[in-house]
Amino acid sequence: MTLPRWLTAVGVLVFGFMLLPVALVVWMSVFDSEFLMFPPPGYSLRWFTGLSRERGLFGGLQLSFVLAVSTAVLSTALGLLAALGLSRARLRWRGLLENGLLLPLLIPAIVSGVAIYIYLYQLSWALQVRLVPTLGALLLAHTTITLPWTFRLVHAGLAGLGTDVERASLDLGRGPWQTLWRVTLPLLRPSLVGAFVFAFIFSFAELEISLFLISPGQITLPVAMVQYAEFRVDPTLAAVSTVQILLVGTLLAVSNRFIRFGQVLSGGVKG
Amino acid sequence: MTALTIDDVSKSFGSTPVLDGIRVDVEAGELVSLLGPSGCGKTTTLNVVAGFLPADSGRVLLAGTDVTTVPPYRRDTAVVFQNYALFPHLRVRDNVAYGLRARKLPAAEVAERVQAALELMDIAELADRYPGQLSGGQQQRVAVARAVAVRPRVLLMDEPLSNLDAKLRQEIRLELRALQQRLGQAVLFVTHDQQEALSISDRIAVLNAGRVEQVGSPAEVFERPRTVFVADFMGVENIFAGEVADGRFRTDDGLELPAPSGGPVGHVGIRPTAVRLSPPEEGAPQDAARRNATVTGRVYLGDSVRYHLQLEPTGTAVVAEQPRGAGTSWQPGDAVTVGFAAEDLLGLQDAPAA
Repeated sequence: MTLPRWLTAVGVLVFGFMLLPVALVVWMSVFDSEFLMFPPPGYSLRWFTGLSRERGLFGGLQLSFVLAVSTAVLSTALGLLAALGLSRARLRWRGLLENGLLLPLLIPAIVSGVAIYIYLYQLSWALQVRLVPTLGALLLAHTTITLPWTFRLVHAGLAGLGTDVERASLDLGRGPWQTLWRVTLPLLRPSLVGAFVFAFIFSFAELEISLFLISPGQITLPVAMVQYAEFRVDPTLAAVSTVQILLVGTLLAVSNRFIRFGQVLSGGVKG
Repeated sequence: MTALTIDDVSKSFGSTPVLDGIRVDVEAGELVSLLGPSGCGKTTTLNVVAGFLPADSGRVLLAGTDVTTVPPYRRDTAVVFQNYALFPHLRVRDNVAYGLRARKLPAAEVAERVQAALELMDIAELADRYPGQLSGGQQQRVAVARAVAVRPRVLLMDEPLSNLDAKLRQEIRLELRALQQRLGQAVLFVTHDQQEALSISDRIAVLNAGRVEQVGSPAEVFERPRTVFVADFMGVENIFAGEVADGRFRTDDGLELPAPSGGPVGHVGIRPTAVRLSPPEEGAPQDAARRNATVTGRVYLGDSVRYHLQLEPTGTAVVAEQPRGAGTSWQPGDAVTVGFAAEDLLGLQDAPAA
């Protein structure tokens, strides 16, 4: 199929619009100047080598990475359980539950952040245990907001599988657990990898909720970046952003070896 | 010995009854078809037998053992699914081995039986492919190999040929039948295709609205349909409602026909191929009833020609089918005489005797 020329032009424009900021950030990260100025006086990698000395940013990068991995694991596992339960069990209020799991999408992140903070603060008083700010609270909050995505992806994957392959396995003599392990989970792998990647990226870039839940000395990368930018504007931020972009890019590239994202997002994972 | 007994099984989805007292037996080595239009409950019956759906009432027996409440993974059945339901992440070999490994057979025996099943279905050279790399016909063979490899008490086939093109379907139909007879495998075969059921079955159970309308050999069901539904499904297109009076059958719109043999009936049916056409005011001497009629339509079908007719004076619509080249060729508007032989009139009940 040949595309009309104007359509190609629109495509190039849209892609350019999307990718230009990314390219600019990467470009600025190698400016050899204390301030952002155009044209740059020269190029250097010193903002990258200096990153490890920026304790706020570097610590944030480490914490965010650990948090994003934990969030992705927890959220994918919960999303899988919810999707299995809701698509296979015969429940009375199934539609309500399915849509209920998507509710966190409707609430502005900043509202969720305040709400979770207040709730955990009150609970801390009641239990006489400090719940905020803790890493646990952060993990809980990130899992909550990523759950709609992980649930939705796995749910769509299950719907794409249909029930016949599972029935075939049962029919041939494998019990429900064996069927889950030998048929359902292997066939869901693309959806699970997709869910994991989504949750990771979401958590890694999350700012608003984290603002309320971080504890001093344990700051996630996006929060650390905001704090940094309040005092200084130099290519350090661009450098740390570049690291972020590379990290997510690598993750996408690696997971693309397992699955095709286009397929996962359109719900079909057969074959 | 009876391989499978479906004993008075009923099933409702919510308030909608789907199966209403289904009774079907499959003897060892026998192929029984469940034949009916979509929504008649044939696939639901198969799902109840496989254990995917619980029956509301009634029993399912495999070789005399009640398995009504036994889960599917402990039932000695194997299903060939309509969409094949092959495991896309496993090679053909592992698909076929799946049920054998589930039965914890020794590896050597698994390998041996997988090989035998693959050779039986003539797909040994596909053993290392994945299902996604196979054509529809090849996938179908893998599905059958996977099911027969476990040597089930009853093989359950859910419209296994419906996703194949017409030519392939006829080939595989013959092949399946030969295979079934060679293995002596009891099969419950679900289909909506009358031709398929007639050509492959030892016996046919015709289902309508969750009930068995008639069970019999293909010849019995085709030649002696007992109910209006079965007759209609078997291509008896001319069906007249009426009643028997004084040894004659009088249709509701006043047509008089000889009473069909065997009991009081509410309908009389006659196949289009049994309707004889002759020039006006003539008629074959063996015709038990003759009517003048007008040709209202003509459809050329290649091997035969179909005529749509209107009987006088009642205006009753009748369809006749004549082999090509036999008798006169008629055109719309022609006046003809329509004749029925007494032995071609089929007495039909409204519904099966309860």
